[in-house]
Amino acid sequence: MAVRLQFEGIRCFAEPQDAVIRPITLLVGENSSGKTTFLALCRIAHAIANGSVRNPPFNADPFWLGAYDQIASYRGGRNGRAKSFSLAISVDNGARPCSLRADYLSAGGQPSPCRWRFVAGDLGIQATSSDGLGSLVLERPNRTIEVPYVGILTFDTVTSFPERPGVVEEVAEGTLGLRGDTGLNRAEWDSLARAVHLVHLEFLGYPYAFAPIRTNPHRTYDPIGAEPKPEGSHIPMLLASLWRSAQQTQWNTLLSALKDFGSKSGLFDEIEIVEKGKKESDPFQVGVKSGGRTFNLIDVGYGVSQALPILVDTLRLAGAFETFLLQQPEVHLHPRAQAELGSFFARLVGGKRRFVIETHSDYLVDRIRMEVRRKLLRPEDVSLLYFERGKAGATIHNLELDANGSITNPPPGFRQFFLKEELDLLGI
Amino acid sequence: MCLIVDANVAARFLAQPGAVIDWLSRERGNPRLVAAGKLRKELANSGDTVRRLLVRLEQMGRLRSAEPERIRQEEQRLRAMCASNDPHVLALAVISGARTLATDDGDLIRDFKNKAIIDCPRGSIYRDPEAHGHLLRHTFSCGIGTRRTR
Repeated sequence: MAVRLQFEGIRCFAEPQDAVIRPITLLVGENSSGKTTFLALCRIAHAIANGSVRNPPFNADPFWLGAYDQIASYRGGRNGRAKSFSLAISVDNGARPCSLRADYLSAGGQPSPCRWRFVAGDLGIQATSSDGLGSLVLERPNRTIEVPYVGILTFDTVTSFPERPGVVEEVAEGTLGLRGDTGLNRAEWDSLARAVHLVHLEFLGYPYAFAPIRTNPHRTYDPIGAEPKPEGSHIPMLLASLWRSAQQTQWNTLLSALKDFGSKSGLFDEIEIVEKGKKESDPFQVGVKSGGRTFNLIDVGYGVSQALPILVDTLRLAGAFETFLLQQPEVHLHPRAQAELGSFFARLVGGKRRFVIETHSDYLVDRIRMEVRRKLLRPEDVSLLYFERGKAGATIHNLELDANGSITNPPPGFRQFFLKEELDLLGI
Repeated sequence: MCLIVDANVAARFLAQPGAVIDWLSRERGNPRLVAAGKLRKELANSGDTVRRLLVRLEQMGRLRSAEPERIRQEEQRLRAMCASNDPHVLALAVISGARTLATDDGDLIRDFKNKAIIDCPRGSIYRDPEAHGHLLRHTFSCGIGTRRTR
């Protein structure tokens, strides 16, 4: 299954970009080369695939892209700011490629959808709106039909098409109000519906995004809500809830995985909850066992509190369709722990789970490449995206790995700085 | 283009300033150092400088590898034909398609020039950075790079 994200005219990406998304997608490149924007676009793509073409999350924690003028690319000179921008997702299961593209322009300073187009093989459906008037275009080989339609067609209407074959045409007529000759027969409507379902499945659910800096540790915690937050402030309370739960299965499973990572990374031996009273409403502390002693979370290296939210949430939420968006999971970690994070993510790959990881850590990237060589991952499980800044904006290079985990298609200049620095240090 | 550096000259070619380092570190073009299996281990044991360089080249995608099992099989096939004790180097050249070898081992040079072992195209030997610098031009080799133009 090939899944791609394609976009144009967004922030530093003035030119069309085409990036491959795989179970592990690594984003590497210099600062301000568009990596965080890409993470935000991954989340927006999920929203669009789930029907929210009209109001995807351009601004929500931890990604804030701004209003239209901050989102649309600015080329300077006569080109000025992009008049519109687009984002598309494309899915190819080998049988028939399909894609969904949404175009936005400025309305009242905010991005507003002016068009979406869904294509499945040689069939297509496109909705446009302008000044409150909508039109719907149905495309089939050698024939394009514009169907009278009043109002703005939202993609969520299309995603609500029942999966059951045979009823889509009726829904099209009943829900969408399409009458008469639509140009598509029942089989073609069914085919479109199956393709919509395929895209929907690949981008199911809302991605879980982590903040680049996780919350500060505290000596003592009050038992308050454990609503998930990108910076991980809910983690101590979540751990305490699992610790106190009558059903210890979840806690034991989580603890076992944490201990495994802790020992391999050298970060800790065990995590435990230290209760400061007998009632559930009494405060508690998070204990970190290391070298036979238990320390308070605030008294051990900062790396532990920075890594804990990522470890706990990815382990706990690793359902079959979960997508995780991570910004520099390696911050404050020793290289040994950075490398182990690579193996940690590799072990969690499975089903339709995806990790999109923005990183500056060679250790993390190298370990994932090693896991390809060790055959824990397949080369096609890993997408290495190199973000390069240029005069005309940023460009994304899709780097491929071979069975040895080696990069097969490095672009000119890739990692030139690192080699030069190394040669200078070695004096050669 | 791909270059194989024999372990016996690694300290001279990969740990000192010179044409090979300049070529490997240039921004443009597609330079590749080919090292896999036993040769990769030998190079990695040639000292800290060479080992660090290998890591950087690997991270840049400029260190080309090959399947160890395929090298072993090719090595076995070539063993009877070789005068040198480096069938692993020759096997790597056959498998990768690399046709430029940096070495000063006389037996290995004879084997590398032996048409029965290395052919289509024939191999070139890189010994002297001054006289043989032209061998490191960006020529088509092992499927990477551009065809030589005069």
